[in-house]
Amino acid sequence: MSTKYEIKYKSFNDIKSNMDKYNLSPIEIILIDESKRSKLPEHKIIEKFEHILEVMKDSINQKAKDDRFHVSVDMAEKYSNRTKSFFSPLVQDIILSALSTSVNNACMHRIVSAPTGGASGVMPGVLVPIIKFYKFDDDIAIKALLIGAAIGNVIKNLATLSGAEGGCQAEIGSASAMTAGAVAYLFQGDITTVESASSIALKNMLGLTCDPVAGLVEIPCIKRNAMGALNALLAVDLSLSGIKTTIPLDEVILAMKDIGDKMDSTLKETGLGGLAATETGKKLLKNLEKSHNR
Amino acid sequence: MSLFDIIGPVMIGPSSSHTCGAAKIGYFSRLLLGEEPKKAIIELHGSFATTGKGHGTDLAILAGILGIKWDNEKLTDSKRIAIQKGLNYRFKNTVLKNVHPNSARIYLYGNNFTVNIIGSSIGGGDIKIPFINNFNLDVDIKKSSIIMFYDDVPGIIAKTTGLIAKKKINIAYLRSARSSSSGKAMMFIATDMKIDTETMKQLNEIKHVKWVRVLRSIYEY
Repeated sequence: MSTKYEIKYKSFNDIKSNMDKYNLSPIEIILIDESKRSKLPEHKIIEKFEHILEVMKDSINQKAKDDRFHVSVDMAEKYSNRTKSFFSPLVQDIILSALSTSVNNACMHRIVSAPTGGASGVMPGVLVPIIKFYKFDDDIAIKALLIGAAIGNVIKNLATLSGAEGGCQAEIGSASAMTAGAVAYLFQGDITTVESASSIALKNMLGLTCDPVAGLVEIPCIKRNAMGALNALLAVDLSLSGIKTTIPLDEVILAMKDIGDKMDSTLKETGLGGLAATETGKKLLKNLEKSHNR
Repeated sequence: MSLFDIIGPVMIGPSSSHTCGAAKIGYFSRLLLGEEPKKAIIELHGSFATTGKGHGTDLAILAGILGIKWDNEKLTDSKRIAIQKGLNYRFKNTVLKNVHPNSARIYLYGNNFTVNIIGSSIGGGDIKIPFINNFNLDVDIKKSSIIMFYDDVPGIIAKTTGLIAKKKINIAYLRSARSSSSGKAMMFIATDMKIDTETMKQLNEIKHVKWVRVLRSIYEY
């Protein structure tokens, strides 16, 4: 069916206007466009996303035995032993899954970059426990992933997904926005609810810098994945209650780009400012260099 | 940009640029050598040299050279596997001119061939290969492609494209580069379709052609 339509999207508004123009669902628009991009038939695209979902499900399991600084490796284990949490069992599972995936990433295990390795805990951290808890089948979960991926694609088109270019807002912020849109879709959110969820999530993350200790994806990245996951949940909860975003998603993304462009380069993955430049941060870097030279 | 670059690649952590992209660069060098490597010299440039160790950049490049892909958990074990397979490897830091900050130069030696490449990891696990055997070809690994090394004599490009045209394979674009000192040249041909082994054999038989490699799009590995 892809030859029939002149479909191409750069912004979220493009997706919406294509939906109106051709009377198609967002998933149809996304698949037609992706089929042109990757030169794959639609069933192949779905097949590849099935694999991605499988890896996501596997990546939330605690696997890590070692890490660079020896301060993060037991983080997931510690949290799983917390008995009197403020959060419901589902939300606790989400926090734990985001932490575990992120620790696995730091310790060189297999994850799905979503949209980066540093932010890889947010999406599976939220989606996998929710799919399990509410018993969504894989077909709908894959559609939710497609929605999330398309939002990421829009962010990439209008701004950036890289911490070196846009700070942490472009990584954890984007992951949180992609996840919020995906989860809103799972709960039968229409396109404006999806947009609100995604937009609220990204707005809450604007301004975040990328200043990890020693330039490694660990401090503060792992804990920030848990925050990105919780923030996505908050945004979905608000949007499903009928609260709308005042600023459209495309404009929030452009605001993120503006903020990223104005952000000092010492705060964009250079290891020169912020947390990386703290006394403890510098000490950890020195210890790491010593252990490498050994 | 495909959606598989947004959610994906499936990779070994921690860094899409310093780990996944690094493994892809190593893997590409192996494909280009076209046989089991016996010796590898790996030079790390820029941020690969300064923060590479903490991201496992060295393990990832070596894994790629050994044919271990960026989504394989064996990646972290590449140094041991290299010794087991008898691959003699050496790392050093270097400074390369006019390349992306996340770059490496790899010299690979097999029983029959030697190649060297400069590969750059340009973000999100995406890579570029600006140089092969010192020829500036700027290879795009997202395309099916043919890479050829040949004597710089008249008619090679015509013979090659003629043969490809006969097979009804459309050329997306073609780049060639030459070295006046060695009298050799290289060609990179991006094609819209995959190249069959018969075509590859015939390309190999063209007089003055030293070697031919046929590569699939990186999405297919």
